[in-house]
Amino acid sequence: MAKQRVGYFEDREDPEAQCSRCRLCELICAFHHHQVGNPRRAKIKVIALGKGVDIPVVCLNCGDAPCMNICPTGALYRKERDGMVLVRSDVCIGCAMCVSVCPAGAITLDLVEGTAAKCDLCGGEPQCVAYCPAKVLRLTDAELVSGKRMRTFARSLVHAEEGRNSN
Amino acid sequence: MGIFQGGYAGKFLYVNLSDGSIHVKPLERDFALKYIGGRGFSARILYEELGAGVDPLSPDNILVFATGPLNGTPLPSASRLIVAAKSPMTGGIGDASSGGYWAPELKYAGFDAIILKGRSATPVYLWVENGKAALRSAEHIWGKRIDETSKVLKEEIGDEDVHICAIGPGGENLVRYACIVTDEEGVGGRTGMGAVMGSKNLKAIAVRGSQDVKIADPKRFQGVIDAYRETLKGEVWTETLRRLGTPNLVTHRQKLGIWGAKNFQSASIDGWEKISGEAFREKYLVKVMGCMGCMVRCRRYSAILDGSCPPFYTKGPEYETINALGAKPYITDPAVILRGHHLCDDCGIDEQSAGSAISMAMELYERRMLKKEDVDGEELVFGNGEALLRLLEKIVYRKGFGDLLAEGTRIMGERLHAEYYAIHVKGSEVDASDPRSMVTRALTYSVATRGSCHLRGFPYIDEFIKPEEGLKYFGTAAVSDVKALEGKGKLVAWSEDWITVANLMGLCIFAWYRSRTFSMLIKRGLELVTEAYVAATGLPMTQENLLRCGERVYNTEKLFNWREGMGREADYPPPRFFDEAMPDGADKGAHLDRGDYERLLDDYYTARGWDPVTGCPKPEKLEELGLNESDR
Amino acid sequence: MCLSCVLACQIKALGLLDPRDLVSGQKPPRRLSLTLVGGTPWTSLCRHCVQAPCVEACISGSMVRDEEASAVRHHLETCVGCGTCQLVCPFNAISRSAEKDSMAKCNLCPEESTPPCVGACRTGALVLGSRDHDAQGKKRKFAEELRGERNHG
Repeated sequence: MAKQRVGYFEDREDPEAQCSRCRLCELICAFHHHQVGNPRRAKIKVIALGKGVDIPVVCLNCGDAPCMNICPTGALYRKERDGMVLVRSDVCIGCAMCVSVCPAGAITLDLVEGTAAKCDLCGGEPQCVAYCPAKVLRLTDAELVSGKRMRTFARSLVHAEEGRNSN
Repeated sequence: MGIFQGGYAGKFLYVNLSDGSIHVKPLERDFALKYIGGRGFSARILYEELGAGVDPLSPDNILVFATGPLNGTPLPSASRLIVAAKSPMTGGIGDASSGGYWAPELKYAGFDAIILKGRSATPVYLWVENGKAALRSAEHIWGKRIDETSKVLKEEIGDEDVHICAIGPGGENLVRYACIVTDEEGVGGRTGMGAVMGSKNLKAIAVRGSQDVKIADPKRFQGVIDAYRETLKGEVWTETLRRLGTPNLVTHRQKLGIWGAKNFQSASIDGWEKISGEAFREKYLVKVMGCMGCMVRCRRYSAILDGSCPPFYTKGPEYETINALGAKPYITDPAVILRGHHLCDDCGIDEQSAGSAISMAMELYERRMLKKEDVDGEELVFGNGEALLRLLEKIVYRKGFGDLLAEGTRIMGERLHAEYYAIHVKGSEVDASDPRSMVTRALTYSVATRGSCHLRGFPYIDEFIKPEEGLKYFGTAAVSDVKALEGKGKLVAWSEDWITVANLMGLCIFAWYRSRTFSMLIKRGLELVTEAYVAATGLPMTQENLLRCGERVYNTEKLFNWREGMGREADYPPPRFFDEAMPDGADKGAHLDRGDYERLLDDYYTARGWDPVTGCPKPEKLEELGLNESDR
Repeated sequence: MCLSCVLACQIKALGLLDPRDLVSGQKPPRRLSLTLVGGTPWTSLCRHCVQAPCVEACISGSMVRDEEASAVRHHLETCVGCGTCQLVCPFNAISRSAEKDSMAKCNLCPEESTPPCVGACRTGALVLGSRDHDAQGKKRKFAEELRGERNHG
């Protein structure tokens, strides 16, 4: 099974196909995991960059995960190769080393439990993906994303070539 | 551990700005069950703790920021805040509703409402975080516009996750219809709440919360979320809202010929396509946006970046923007409308009242009742967009003619001996549309407790209710005939109680209460809402009881107004609606018949259990609602 | 790896102000030390864990989590020096104090406005962390990257 994570897919040309900062992903994530209303306990967070740019940020499921590497107790683990990095709350000591080392800021300490909190893909059916009204969150294969970027990059190369020739 | 299993935070925050004291009062279970929240809390607190005859801009007025039990829960579109006080526009109960994220954040910070009394000697802002609050100096941000204020405060507090409700220079200068702005975007526009806040020298309230809002029965609550989502499938109204926002109503207004253009002298607009929802989407829309948890996403985010003016981004426009800064002053240049909108929002003045004031001045100018030297040398004719923009700025800073415009149309009418041309009810300008051809709408706008309001009741039900549904709910099939009078008094009364529930819960009216069919309206707007309340709070509630709470709150507001001397005579539309027929458009010639209106008003009062002569709630009705004789 | 932070901590522990007052043979308690791990400096320093093993292990209740300050405080007065905390700490952050029969651990220097170790660091490598370890800042940077807001090299 290929490595999975929740990815953000927007269409900048379509005003309806971009994150609209409704934060339903945050609400539904915290509710699903903790049965409360509290977006600060969500494992996904919408970052407002201004000028109409809002980006949901969530665990990228790194291959060589810094959080896993630095964890002193082995509380961070995968169930299978390529599986999502998960937390054993009973083993976690809340030292926050994973928090300080995550390059995306995607793992934090849960405000109530004090242990590491991160996306767990809701066991396979991510709720944020299901409930996003703009449908810009998708359970994605990491390979798929880079493939898309490769194609975009290749296309831009071709256009650059064409531009050069026409001069 | 609080007494509530969920929904409510269980605490009111009382702030005395005169002596700086702050204390917390618990929310009592009975109070919650009787008044639910939001407008219910604010109406009752204002009625109990504010005496009659208070000057709304004096330290004696009380300013309430109230949330509902569903704010902060993961329920879609439970995003709305109520800000209330005695209104400087009407002298009666005033309140404004604003969406976004502020109300949920206050719940996460552990409070159901903030009640502010007195006046601070120096400019301050209130900082609220996780059960605690403190007043801090706002000298360094006094004078700043909304965007700038938020920037400075977020830096000072050191956290971009802070949510801020602020006034701009409009509120500071006590523009009578100044508004409050949440998160630099959502405006609680009407009834002058910004002026009250400014009169207290309160610049802003910054909130940050990380506490849980508990849910009593999470499984049941999940069921409501999913059932709500189901109701949105195939709901054309919500698709239209997402695509075009509230500006989609422009087409409707033109089609029905119910614009209040040229200060209600024209019901049709030449060039209306240039300011339609489609036009704004095509030219200026950056992205659609949603308030907390919303699946509809009717908010617009627009920008003018073509170099025609200094570039800016702004939330909006809304339909009311186009109505107030387009239709009323007869401006069909969308850029002017958007620029005016941005100015109003960033400076904190209600664009509805501002546009209305300028439009009234335009009519007076064209009638030569105002001369050029009276209006700062402007050629103040309808359609003059540049004059509108200049005057909006002058209103904010009370400069020149702006000083009179800043008082609103009622006072303008008094000072200029031109009361006839002031189109308002109880001092609050008529918005939404021209109701001359629909007496039920005219009634709804005119009996609204906070002054002219198209969202206090829901008369639009008669546009889609089926005859058999009319018979079942309102005793007559005639209710489904838009032009008929029969049963409409009861319809308006019922719809007011029902719509009030949204304001009690913290729910967005568009996401929950608008519908194309009556059965869906009941299903979503009453059944599901009751279910959500029970699932969130664990408290007992039925649909009947909830409507009763709406009725109780509405009656409390009526008692408030009655105590201020507002009786039947205050529940009338402006004389122009009676005296002049629809001038043009699809309903040309239609007029509001005085006899019809009086009859309908009688019916409405009777349906409400109020004295038909005075408009005062009868003792039996008050007893029925658990409002004591001593409450009168 | 200049070890200025270690020096600053030790001077504080001995109650001195000037490093020149250090006398040979003095053995200040080791609350902060540095090693090289694969070429990178790694601190043996208390992380003030939320579910700290030392707090759980302490038999005299001398290790106490102070939520308000986000710190684990070691109360010298009640410490019996059993050494269990040293055994369970994953970061080797606790050591034995030679003079007193007790343990030694970073207490975040509550009596100082800035901990001396942070003050001594010339490069800004040692900082008093924000509560969320700048997770918000990192999210923001990542969001900017995703949107292509930032220029790449």
